[in-house]
Amino acid sequence: MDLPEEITALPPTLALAAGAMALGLAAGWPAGIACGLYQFSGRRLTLALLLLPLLLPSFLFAIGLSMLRLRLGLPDVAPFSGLAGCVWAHGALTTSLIAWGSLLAVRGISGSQADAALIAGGDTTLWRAALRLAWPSALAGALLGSAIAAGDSGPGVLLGWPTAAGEILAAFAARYDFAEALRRSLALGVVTLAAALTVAPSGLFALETAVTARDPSRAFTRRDSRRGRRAGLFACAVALIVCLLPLIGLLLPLLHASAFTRAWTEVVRTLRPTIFYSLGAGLIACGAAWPLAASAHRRDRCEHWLLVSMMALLALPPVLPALAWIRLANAAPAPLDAIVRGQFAVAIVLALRLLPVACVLALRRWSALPRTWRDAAALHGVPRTAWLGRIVLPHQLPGIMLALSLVAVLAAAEVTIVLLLHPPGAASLPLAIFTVMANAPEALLASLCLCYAAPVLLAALVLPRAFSPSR
Amino acid sequence: MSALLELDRVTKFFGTTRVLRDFSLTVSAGKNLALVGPSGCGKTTLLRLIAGLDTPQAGRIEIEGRAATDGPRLLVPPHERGVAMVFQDLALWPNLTARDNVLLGLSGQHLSHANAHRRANDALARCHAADFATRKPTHLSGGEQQRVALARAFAVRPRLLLLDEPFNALDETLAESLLTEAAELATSFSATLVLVSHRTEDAHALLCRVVPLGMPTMEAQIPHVSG
Repeated sequence: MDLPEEITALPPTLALAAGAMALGLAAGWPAGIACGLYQFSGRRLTLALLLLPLLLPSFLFAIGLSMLRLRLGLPDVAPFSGLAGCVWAHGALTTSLIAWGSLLAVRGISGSQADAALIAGGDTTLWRAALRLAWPSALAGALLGSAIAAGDSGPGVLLGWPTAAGEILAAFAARYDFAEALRRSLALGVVTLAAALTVAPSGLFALETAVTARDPSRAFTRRDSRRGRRAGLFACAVALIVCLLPLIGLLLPLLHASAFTRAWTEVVRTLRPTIFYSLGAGLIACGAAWPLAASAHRRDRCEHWLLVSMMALLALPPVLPALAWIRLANAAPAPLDAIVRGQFAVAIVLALRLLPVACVLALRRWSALPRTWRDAAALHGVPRTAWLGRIVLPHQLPGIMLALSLVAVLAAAEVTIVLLLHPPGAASLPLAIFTVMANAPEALLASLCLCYAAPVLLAALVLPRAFSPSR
Repeated sequence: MSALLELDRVTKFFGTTRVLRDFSLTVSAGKNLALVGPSGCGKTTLLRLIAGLDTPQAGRIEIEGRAATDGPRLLVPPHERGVAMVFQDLALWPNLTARDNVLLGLSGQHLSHANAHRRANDALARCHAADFATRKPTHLSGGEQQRVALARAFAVRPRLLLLDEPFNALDETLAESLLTEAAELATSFSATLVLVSHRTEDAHALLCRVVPLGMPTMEAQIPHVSG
């Protein structure tokens, strides 16, 4: 019996999601705890490397693996292609999510709690307590990472693994059958949504506690010990193998030849739309997230449902909001064309896709605003404009800037939405890389990737400061 | 003497937890009062109800003979009650200097720019906080921060000043001297102090009437107290 294509594409997709989850848990969970508990040399670089998969599109990791395999003269087999290759490319993101989730959870351990664990049984007890504490966050990161892997088309197309998202994009590009693409992406959306919503009972409580903690700063000092150095070595190895190795493969062709002049021409051509999409998405997402979080914070039920809905939104495959927007644009009257078509539309859909990131950061920032500040303002009759402008805005500004930068970088890396919605001649740089990678010379591809990755790497080195306990 | 503050059978629940039940209290003008009780007995809640930052489920609160809260209805907003408060964490706005903290606290008084500055400088000077008026709270010691918080509260010329254990983080000697000073300032500003604390020593420093508070409801211990 012939099964519909949206059903037959699901088992490989689920296998990929499960693989990414397993790799992420095995590598990211202990690595995140090591970075959270211990001080070791190279910690900052490890954190920056673990941040890279969050900031770079997954297809760059897939191209890197492909190039690495070619440079090493290896056959087209695991772990560089097929399911294993896809797991590696997507596992980098899952590892990163889990590691950062675990790190933030471990930061919830206070100095006295750490001392109590050390007195009870030394580093082993501290490590066990941290593993247990970080488990819900790790699980949430694993489920989220696997949901994103299931909805992402890039690595599957590049490394020869037929995922549902890849099939949807290929079918849509070949036949432009909108109804079929929408039906398939809805089927995929149901699966990824179901996976993401299982986070609710298991990981949401820990996530809420971390996000809406009234006092996010704790007095835990990272330890410097022999076990810490071993754990640090493991974290470094994870960051190097899972996150950096594919990117090294991406840049290896530059050892023999480069094409920076052509790459620079491409960068200049795509710079304006890339900045418009990324900054536009950042501004729209923050503009929506801050009032949303402000209305929900300190209302437990509202905070809970906001987080659940944001997780669900993040888990949906990016192709779904893009297709829904196309349908909306087709039905919209002509005077609305300026909004529903063109570059602005791309920024709106990217903002919708990344709204959860801005929302989580906004909730965290609002929760750090002491209630007594508001009470004091109310008691003294401070006018609303003065309260918002002189007290709230300066307090929220670091959070807004962090969210804006993160959403902008993530939006710049998004390919599917830009591919489906961008107006002619207004491709972003990652989309230009995605488009030329099949036919362009290796040197040009590597030069383009470096032009994109270098500023992102710089951002990855700077952003961890924002998460430091002294913030 | 007329009552400055009168609470009549005030009841407050948080969810299913009953914090106050049929609680009544009368405070006369010029007669400082200390409410002393263990943590969790509803001391801060009581002050928030008096300040109008929260409303009870039942009961009535009158300030200077005027109904300010009637059951869950807030009849007079917090900034029109003639009440100021020094919070447990002081609630100083950290991005503003000490003077700007006091000035922003005066913004509900509708004073001219010059008058507001005069009033702020006067309060800072009388609270011995003028020397560090241009510094931000994060650059001040604990005792200095308390003085700025007191200056901000006294600057609005309140009839009633609520102190929510503001000196707990300080050592006993400093806390005692600040309390004595606060009582003297209250006299000079014609304000009446209502202090809540879990330390009886604080009440002794104020040389005022002490009302003991206990769990689970207050009414059981003090049916009616006149200051």
